[in-house]
Amino acid sequence: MRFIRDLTLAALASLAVILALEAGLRLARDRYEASFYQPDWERGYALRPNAEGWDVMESEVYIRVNSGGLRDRERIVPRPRQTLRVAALGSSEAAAFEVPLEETFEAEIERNLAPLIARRGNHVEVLNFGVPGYSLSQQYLTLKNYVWKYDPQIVVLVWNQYNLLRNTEETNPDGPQAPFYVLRDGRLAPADPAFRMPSLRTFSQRNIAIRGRLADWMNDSYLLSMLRKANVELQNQINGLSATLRRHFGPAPTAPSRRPRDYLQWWPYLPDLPDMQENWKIGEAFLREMKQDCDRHGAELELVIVDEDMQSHPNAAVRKAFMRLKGLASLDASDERLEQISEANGIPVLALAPLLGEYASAHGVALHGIGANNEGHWNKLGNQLAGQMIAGQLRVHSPTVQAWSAGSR
Amino acid sequence: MSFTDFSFLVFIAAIAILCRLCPRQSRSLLLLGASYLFYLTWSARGAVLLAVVTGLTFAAGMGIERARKSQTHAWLTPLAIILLAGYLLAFKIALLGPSRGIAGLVMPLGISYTTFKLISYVLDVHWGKMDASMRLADFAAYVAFFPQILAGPIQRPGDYFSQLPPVPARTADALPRIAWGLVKKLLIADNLAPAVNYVYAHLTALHGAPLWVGFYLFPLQMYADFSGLTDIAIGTGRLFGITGPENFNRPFTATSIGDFWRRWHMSLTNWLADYVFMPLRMATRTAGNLGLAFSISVNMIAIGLWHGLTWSYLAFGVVHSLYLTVDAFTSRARAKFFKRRRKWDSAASWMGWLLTFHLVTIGLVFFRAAHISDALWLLGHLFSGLGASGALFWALVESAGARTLAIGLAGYAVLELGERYRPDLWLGRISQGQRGVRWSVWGGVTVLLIFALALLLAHSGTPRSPFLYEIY
Repeated sequence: MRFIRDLTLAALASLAVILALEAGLRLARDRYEASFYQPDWERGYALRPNAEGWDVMESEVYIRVNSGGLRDRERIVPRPRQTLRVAALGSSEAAAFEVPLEETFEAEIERNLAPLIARRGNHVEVLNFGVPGYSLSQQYLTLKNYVWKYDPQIVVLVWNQYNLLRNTEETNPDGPQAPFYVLRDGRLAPADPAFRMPSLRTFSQRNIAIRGRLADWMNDSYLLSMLRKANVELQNQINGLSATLRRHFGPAPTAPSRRPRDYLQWWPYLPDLPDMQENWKIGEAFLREMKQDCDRHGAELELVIVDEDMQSHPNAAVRKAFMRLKGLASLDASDERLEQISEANGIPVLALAPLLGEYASAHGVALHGIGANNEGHWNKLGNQLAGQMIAGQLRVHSPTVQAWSAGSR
Repeated sequence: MSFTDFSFLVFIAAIAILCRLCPRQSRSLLLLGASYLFYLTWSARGAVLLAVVTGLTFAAGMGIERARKSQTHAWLTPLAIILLAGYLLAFKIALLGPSRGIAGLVMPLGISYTTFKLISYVLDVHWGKMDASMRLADFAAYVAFFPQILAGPIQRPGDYFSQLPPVPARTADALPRIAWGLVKKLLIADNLAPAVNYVYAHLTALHGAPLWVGFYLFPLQMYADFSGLTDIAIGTGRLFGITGPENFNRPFTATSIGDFWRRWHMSLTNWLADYVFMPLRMATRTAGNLGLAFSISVNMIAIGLWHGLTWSYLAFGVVHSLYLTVDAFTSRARAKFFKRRRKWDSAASWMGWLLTFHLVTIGLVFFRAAHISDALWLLGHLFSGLGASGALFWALVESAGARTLAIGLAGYAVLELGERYRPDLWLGRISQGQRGVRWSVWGGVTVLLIFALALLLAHSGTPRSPFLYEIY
């Protein structure tokens, strides 16, 4: 009996310390990255429906995932009447975790198109299908299997050139998180039809749901979020240590890795690089398949090429110095190649780099990241300008938008 | 490998386990191996140089002992001291050059600390305070003892050797000290650092309020950083059965400059008092007050220049030698004055504390500033445009981060309260009580330790400020 009493006392004391630490972290607003993802049988991973918490990677933003698994407000399935729907598809730029929902470029497109089509009670919705880190294969599968139930009339594909690297296993910098596709007889085919994320091999759908609820619960606690971050860092430390040991004591690699070193610094996706020819071909095939899919569903496909932070750096001297350092004749070579591919496939395209670069230079403002060094994803102004430019493109080039604004719908 | 790296915690855990597993007589060898392994993570060339200097000093120690006993070869001690001082001086001078000379090629880690350890060994053997070490492994482990290599404390050889073969302390006595050091560094010093760095990086563009922020915050940052480093060193040493000397005793509660130096960087102050000040004072005792002033000045300037051969460190030493000289010359008169006016006593201790803190803070401006002109700018513009410096102040707060600053300041308040009320002592007393209370205390402490470890891990991906004293 006394043993139980002492044990209870010790448990209560420990609990009091835990609560005090939770309160301390909240008071100090010491926030850690929440978990927004869950394993996905088809795409590797996806946003977890109803997940919410803080994203602290670049700025501190409270993120809410809706019940449909989109970083968006609740949307009705299928499309309500008198509604023009645009689906924004892409990776981190489209998800725009760096700004609150009302400051994303999707919200800006809505604001810009709304007055055009507001007659007779029509309204516009721009749905955010962006998921950070998504490769073209994951975006393709999202379009094919998840977008059409929302019945959008326009699909805006927000293209980040780095995604080309994720087209093949050899150049993919992020490990096995997504299914790969290869070209067979000029058509896309899954490289591994039985693709499963490593974590999915041991978890059933029920376990995924339980883990999701656990992750939701952890998101609510600053202390548990911190412990989760500590666990991730511990894994990183262990992986780093084992990599070092392998390097020193393991067998010598049989073939040199094709994975580019410092891939974020060296623009390894440039179209004239020999290693990237296959990646570009697969990228073009994805674009073609997505166009055909949109055609089948009677939707328009618009391509928007995201600017690299260096392309829209406010200081022209910095841009020139970067070009000299990397031996680049132009910062726009990849964008130009993609524009040619799009036009050849009949896809309207908007390259944002020249427009955003011009604005940044003229006003001396950074459109990426926090602070003046212009590094990272679009900030509030970057999202705002991108939204205005995409809305402008749709207004001028989209027959659907023109029809809705002319009042014929 | 820095003390705040997670890999360091793994490293010390592994060595602590090995230390408990291996026979007592082999523990010095284990500590020697661990120390050189630690050293190799910083610099392989530095490790080789340290081994060479250690070997030569070990040989010199044996020679000095023979010379002492046979009263021959009296030149051996001065030669060893000159060579060791020259070795330290050569690297300090090399650091001044733009290419850093030999220091750029091979800069021994913690050279100021290891050299002082070696010098004290030579002098203690010469003066007969201790016998020369006969075991090279023990001696080399003392010199390279890795918990103390980054920033001390400077342990005397007699104190170290008296603890051999090492008997590790209870883990529960060592871990809280390490955790407390990490909290001081990561929670307090690193959160105060952005504001201090901002002020000293933009000195000439600032006036008024932001300069006051830099003026008051640097001593707090410095103390949290340096004493945190010392806490980790002492706690880690205890894990292996070597208790190092204390380095701080609540220095900002000092009521006079003399009192401050009895509480601040005590292992260095005591070292210089024993090996510089006392010999000088003995030699100049016939010169009265002039001899005293001379001895104090040499001692304090040596403290300043020990950090580096720069005008700023020299100014720091000169300022403190002036403070201490005035303190020493007026102590009798002040005592007499307050003896006659007993009512003023409590006011005097308050005034003494306030004055001492500000004098120390002024001295630390010279310590932190890159140039004397920067220090003079800060001190000269504290009051200029004070009323119109609101925008500059808010720019500083925005740059450093209001939350960061608030955490640093709140953390510092916790530090002062913690060191005033010593929860480690009353926790120790409570834990001797009933089983339920004991379990509760250890349950809470375990949760706190896990939290500290997780916090360290969670922040391991973000860049940290290096320890301020790592560079010496």
